[in-house]
Amino acid sequence: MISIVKKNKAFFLGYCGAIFILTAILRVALGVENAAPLVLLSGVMIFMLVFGPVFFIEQYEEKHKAYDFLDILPVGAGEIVSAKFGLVLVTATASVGYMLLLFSLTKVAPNDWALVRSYILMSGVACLGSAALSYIGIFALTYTKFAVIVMSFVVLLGFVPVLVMKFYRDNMHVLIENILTFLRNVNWATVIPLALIGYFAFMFIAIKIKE
Amino acid sequence: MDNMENILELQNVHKKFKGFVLDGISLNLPQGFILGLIGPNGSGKTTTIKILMNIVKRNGGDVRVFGLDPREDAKKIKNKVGYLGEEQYFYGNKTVAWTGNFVSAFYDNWDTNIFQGLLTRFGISRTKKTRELSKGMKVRFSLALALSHHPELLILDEPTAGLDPVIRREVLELLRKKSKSEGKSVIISSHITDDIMRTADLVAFLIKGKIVLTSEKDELLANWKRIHYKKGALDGEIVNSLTRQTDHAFGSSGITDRYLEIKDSLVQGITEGVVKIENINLDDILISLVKGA
Repeated sequence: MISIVKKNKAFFLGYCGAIFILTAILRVALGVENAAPLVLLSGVMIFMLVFGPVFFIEQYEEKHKAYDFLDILPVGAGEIVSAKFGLVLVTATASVGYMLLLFSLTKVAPNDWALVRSYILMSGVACLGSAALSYIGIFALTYTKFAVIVMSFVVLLGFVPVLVMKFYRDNMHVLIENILTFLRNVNWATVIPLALIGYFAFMFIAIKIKE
Repeated sequence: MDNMENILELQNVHKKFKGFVLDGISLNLPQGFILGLIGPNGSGKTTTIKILMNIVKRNGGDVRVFGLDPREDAKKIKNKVGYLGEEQYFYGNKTVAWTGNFVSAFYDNWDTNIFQGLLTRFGISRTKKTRELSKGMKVRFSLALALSHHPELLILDEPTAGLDPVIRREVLELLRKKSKSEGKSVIISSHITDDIMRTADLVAFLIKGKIVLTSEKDELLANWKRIHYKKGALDGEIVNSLTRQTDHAFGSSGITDRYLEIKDSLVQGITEGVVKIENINLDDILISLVKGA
């Protein structure tokens, strides 16, 4: 199982290392007093750390017909899929941990700390779920077909802020306040275990599809 | 041979694809023998082999490899199988040495000495990237990977397709040697009947998704002959049983699949020079079976 993820270690370490270093540089550049931009950036960084390897590595696997190669080796679909899901889980955990560490070194008002923590954890959970769904899509459709669907989806996603602005034009501050209240009140002791159960359920589905 | 242990057994195996049906395949391969699976393109050879490797899931029937069902024990089976497909897939940007190291991690019995020895024998540079290997080199490299974990069964799907005659001969001779000196069982599929002629002990003809004939190769070649005869030289029943009949300067000719049975009745005609017997090859038999299918 380790061999399956180890083969991409050079890319993986280079890519993730670069983003970790870039985030640290940004934190230094923004200074300890200025946490707000870094909060928003942390979501983007977590997304890049979790999704980058998924898409780059799967593109690489498809380019080299890796699954045809692995098919003839004594390795089961369960091992292949769980290796990939395991890597995503480790990356998401490390990314979230790293972002929380950076903010623990930044001056954040105690009242805002719950919000920052929630935003980072929510980013991690969202990325985890989306990565799992991406693997299901890739195994069901192949990387190229799934990538086309994702691209179309991303284009449509661009209209979401426009629609939100249209419907909440006069109540934007209410919407933002509702989101912040929701984030402050998330019970992470319940959500994290549930998210992990959901993630492993997706992994089981992905194994069945890969088989 | 009936009493020998079968390393491979297929009973009434079915697989349905859009526009193609593998229709009740039954085959046995005793330990230490080479089985040649012959058939035209699209006859179901690759599907049959992929079912053995659990790359394709069968719709029905029973398959046993080393007594195990590939659907349940694919990993155990693949650990004891050396597989060489028509197409070779590797991580193109990785070297030969890296690929060997990567593959070795999956096998219980990987033998680095055998692998290194085969690379040297085949003249494959360890530092070369796999995408830089020619088609022939890729086949040799695949064979080195397939033989380096002491496989008990070799499964080869059109292994010589696209190879030049020198490499083809080398690959086939290596397989023959492995089977005879080390007792390895081999199943080799090909539409190039000459490959099967050179290597196989047993042959099975697969046409339009059905096994139409299985036999020991020598027995098959002893029974299938082309008979040339002058008008009136043969018994009417024998003439009617001949397939692919043609007329020519000598008289007529046709193919029989029961030469050993009718041999005695042909002796007089052969002595008088009005009947001639010609050996035929697996190509002729395949064509006869395809035309009759």
